[in-house]
Amino acid sequence: MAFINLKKREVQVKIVYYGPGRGGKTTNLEYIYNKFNQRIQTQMVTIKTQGDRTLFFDFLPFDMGKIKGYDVKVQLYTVPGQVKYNATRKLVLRGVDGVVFVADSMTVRRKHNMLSLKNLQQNLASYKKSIFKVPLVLQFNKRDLAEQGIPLLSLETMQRDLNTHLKAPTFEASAIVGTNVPETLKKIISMTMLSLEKELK
Amino acid sequence: MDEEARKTFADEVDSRLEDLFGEDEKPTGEDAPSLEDLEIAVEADPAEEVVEALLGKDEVPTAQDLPEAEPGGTAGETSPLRELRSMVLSIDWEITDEVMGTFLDQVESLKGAYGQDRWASLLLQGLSSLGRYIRRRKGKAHPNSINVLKSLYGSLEKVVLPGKADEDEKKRIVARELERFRELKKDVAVGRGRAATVLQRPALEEIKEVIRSEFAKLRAELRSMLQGKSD
Repeated sequence: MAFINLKKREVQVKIVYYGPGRGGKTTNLEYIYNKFNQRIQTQMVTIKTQGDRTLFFDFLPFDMGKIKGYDVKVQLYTVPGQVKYNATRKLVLRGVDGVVFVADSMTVRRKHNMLSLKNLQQNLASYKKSIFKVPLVLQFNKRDLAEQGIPLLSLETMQRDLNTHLKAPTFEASAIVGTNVPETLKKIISMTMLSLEKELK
Repeated sequence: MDEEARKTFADEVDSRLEDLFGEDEKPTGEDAPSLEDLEIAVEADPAEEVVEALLGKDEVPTAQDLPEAEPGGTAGETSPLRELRSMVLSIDWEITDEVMGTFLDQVESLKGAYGQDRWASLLLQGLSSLGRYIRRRKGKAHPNSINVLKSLYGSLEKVVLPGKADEDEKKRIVARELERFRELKKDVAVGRGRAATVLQRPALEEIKEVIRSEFAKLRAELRSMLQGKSD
């Protein structure tokens, strides 16, 4: 549940980028930070291990300005994708308002996508949240790799594997070059804000 | 929550997101993103050079010399400008995506109608650029931007309606409008610079605060896990 301060008329919205390791979650945030920093006027915090992997989380906060008389502050987080860091993933999910699931389009990563989505469902359930009710956007990342001859999952396969029951909005993306990265972000913020609308009296 | 209120809210959110993450502005680099439209209109249009070549730089009047140009009263019922005039009057009252969208549509259709008139084309380009800027910034648009928009429209009427101005006068009118544009552009740039310096420190403090809070939660989580094991 978003933090809403009725007295100060301030809303804090937490969006988490979730998905398998090396799927491009951090790259999404880095693209947003590098491309839009002039506008969002913020700093990105990232804690990496020596191998350039996310150790704890990445964090990118920014102000959206006033909406319906409220100062809206958005906080973007990523989780560490590696299986062993589930406690951290679970912790970062606490109080989440919206989720972007970044799936890896490479054929060899098919099973990892499905396991990670299952893991998301379980971790949300531990906070009594349903993956079917939380605002959720699926991003099929790394579509650009097809140009390099790397075998990719077809969009139909990814839809069938991940979205048959969820029916969430999806974006084909390339976080490294930025294709559909802003669109993904705009969609999840828009969905999340609409889900909070009733609370903003 | 009724459907209309929900739509308004959704529009407000989408518009703000477009301001922040819209793809049609250059978000990085030295120039202010909100200035881009004005940059195109004033600096990239060769028609401006035509004006200066015809009048000479020294003859370009300053903004202070300009009379207030008020829209209204002159575009007849059958004039192609009639719709645009009513939109300009609407913008004076409220700036919404719907109003600005219709305004920009009108400007686009007039670009076709007056494509052969270089003075009208230049003024229409100015209206289009300024309209896009106002649509993005809405209530945050520079306070003078609406006045400049009205002035541009007033000048457009003088330029295109028969018997309003001869060729020399048209040149002078367009030169004045370009000068107003330059002034507005400078004012917007100054406003942007101030905002940037004010915003940085709170952002840093906020990051520190959130990280502190997250680590506190992590410690609490670890404590409860350890207690659970020992029980």
